[in-house]
Amino acid sequence: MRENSPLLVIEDSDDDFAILATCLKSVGVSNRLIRCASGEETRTFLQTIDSLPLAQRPCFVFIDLNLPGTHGSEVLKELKAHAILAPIPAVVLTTSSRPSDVDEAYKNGAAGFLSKPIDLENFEKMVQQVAEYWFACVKLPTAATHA
Amino acid sequence: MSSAPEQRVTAKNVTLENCDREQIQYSNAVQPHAVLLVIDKNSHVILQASANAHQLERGTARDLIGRPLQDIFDTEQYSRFAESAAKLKPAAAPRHLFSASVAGEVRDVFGHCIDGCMILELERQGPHVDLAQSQLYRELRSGIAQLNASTTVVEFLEEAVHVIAKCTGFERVMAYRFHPDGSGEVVAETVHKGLERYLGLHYPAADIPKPARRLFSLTWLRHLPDVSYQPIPIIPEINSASNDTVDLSYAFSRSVSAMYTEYLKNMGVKATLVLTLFKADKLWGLISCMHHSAPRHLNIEVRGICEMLAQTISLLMSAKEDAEFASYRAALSACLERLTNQLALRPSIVEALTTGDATLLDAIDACGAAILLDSEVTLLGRTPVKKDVERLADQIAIKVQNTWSSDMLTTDCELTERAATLISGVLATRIGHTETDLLLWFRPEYRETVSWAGDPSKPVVRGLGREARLNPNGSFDVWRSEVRARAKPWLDCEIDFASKLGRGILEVVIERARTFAKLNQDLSRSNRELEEFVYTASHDLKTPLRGIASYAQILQRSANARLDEPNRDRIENILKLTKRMDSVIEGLLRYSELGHASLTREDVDLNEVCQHVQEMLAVEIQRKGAELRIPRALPRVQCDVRWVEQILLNLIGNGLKYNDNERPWVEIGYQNRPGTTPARRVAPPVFYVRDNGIGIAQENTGAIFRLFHRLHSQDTFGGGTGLGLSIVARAVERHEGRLWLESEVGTGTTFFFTLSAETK
Repeated sequence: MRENSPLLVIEDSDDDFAILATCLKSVGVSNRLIRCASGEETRTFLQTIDSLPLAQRPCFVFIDLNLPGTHGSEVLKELKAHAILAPIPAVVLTTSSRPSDVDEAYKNGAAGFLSKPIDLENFEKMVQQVAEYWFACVKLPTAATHA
Repeated sequence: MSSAPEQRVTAKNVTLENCDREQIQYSNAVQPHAVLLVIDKNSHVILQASANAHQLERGTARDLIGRPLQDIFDTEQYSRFAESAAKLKPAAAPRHLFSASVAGEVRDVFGHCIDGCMILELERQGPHVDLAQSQLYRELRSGIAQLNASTTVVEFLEEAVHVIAKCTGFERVMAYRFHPDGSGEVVAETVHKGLERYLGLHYPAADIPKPARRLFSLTWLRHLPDVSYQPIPIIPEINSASNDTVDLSYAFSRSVSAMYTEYLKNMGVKATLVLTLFKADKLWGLISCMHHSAPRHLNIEVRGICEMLAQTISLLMSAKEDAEFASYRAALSACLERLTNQLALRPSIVEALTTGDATLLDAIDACGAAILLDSEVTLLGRTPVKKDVERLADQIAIKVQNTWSSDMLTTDCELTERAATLISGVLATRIGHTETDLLLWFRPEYRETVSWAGDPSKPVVRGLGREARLNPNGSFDVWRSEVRARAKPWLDCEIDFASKLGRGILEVVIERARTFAKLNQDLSRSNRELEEFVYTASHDLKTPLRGIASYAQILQRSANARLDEPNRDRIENILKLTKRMDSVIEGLLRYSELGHASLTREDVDLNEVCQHVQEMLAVEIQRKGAELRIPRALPRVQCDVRWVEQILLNLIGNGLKYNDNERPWVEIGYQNRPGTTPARRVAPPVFYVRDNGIGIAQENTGAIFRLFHRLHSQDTFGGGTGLGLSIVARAVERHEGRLWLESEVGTGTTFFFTLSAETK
């Protein structure tokens, strides 16, 4: 992973965003975070992505499902239909653990499904594992950088 | 054998067996109180004469053959005869032509035409009646007035026999009614003191054989003045004009069947008079008059009045019977209307039919009824036991289109002996979606409902055979054996009532099903909405909760060193509370999911489920030093693995949690229950989760399944959400199973559950 590529976080809750940011930092992920607080904001961001320099295009997406307005699963579908962002892994990070939500997320192209733990320690543990796997272990697509 | 049907059965060769074919019109003999002459219709030459014709003092009967009628009557008499004889119509009852004194004796002369001949009956005038003619008419007038006033057919006939007894002076007068099967019944009777009563007596059809019935239907009146008369033969035997025995169908002085006289003698009857009752030209019944003390010869005046009475009674009775039938039909219609109203108003169909202003049994002539609806059996009145009714319904179900009825159930269906003693007839109508949703009415065996005023068990005095048969006891016995296991036949109006009621109920059932479907739809929509609500609400609750927990933790990390002991504890408490709240929200989510999620049964190895649950509870088990026992391998079961996991997780979790034993254990096992329920039902295995924990007091065993209900405070036994057992109960319920428990405080608790219904 390129350390200077940003991560896209689609999350409406300021607190949850803050916690995620804290956890990422505490496990040593220092990438810049681009935050979209709703589906609409995400759409606007997607329209501008062409004009961004390669380095400023996100290399990984965290997406919440319960978004105000357009539901997260719709947003996920749009991501997966987007020319530049389609190959980028999008991991669902949400409060739900409902089986139907899990199934639907994968069907829509999610790379993973994470249920937000209630306490910080577990949250941190989970982010740690995500970071180890996605940012250290696997090779991420290069499409984002070359598109 | 081939010649047998050709042979004519007459008085000469009649027996008990062939009397149904006896051609009683060819008896070729007369009773002694009349002289019978057969003359040529045109020439009036005498063709045949009864052997007692010598009483006319014109020589022997044989001497009269071939001689003109003028040889018997004088000129004046003959011209009166010729005048009235010319008006006679063929094939009609005898008419009184004139009265004449012949050989010093006054005789009433009756004539009628048959087969080209004329039959003259010269009857000796009977003794004068006790009543003067004017008195007779008074009796008649007041009698008819009373007849008109009577309200029921039986009341009417009681009045009729009374009037006739007064007019005729006969000691016994009975009204006798024919049933469609040909059998008969004494429906009214007036009888002198000291004589046996026959009211209620039933006769088999054979007692009034077809030939007699035919003759009865030809004339209004038959009179037998002296039962022990000697028949007087008609000579010559063959009528030269018809080349056959003369047909005496209409002749009132015809010698009657020996079977009839024998029967009367066995009853101790000396004289009879029989009047016929017609309804719409069909023989409806008879009025039978009997004299026991002596022979009794009624003269022409009284006979004329009786004939008139018979005609009047017939006319009035038809109207009465129609009215009575109409009132029965009206009662059925009224009952139907009331039941229909009740069906519309009452929520329960069974209640509507069995309680309130009208019930199923109110109007219809039935001893009991049963309602079979939605696998429930409701009995009303006299019926077989539930099980027998169910068995009967199973058999009837395949026969019923709209309605079905039987008046001989033991022939039409297989009936247990027990049921057969109670009912012989059934009327059924369909009332629901399934074949066995039926409404049944029952009727008892007919003979059981019949009481005879006489003594049916009286031993027959004079030996066996003929005498044993030819008396009322014999008749009653024969009738009783003929109607064995038979009920009174169901009338069209009753079947119509059943059919209409059945249709009415069916409409209600369909309408209710439609309403239920709509309610269900609404309910499942609101269920979906509720589930969506719970989901959204729990998300919205969790997000800030996570914020609180995380900030508290961040605070703990960054500021703990600077905080004093009480404040450090406070932060710790905040975290503890957020965790509890989180588990409550999780539980609610689980619980609401249970409500709507479809149950997917699959083949599940419960050992694997237990293994998984054990892993989930590993921390708790280790912390408590508890033992998880599975004494024998659990079976594979058709169930929904997600919910069964919840059942075991909560039950085992509780067993560990509410356990202060030094060596805590939880045991999971099952029991097979062969033969513990009736053979038709298959008992699913009973699973149990047993612990040696604190136990549950008897008074609390009901409350524990309630949502959010906890027996212990938050802080004892690790705290619970109050949702665990509610989830278990709901999960078991979704499997159509049962959940119950046995517990002793201080010893432990065992929860039992099944995972399928105890079905047929």
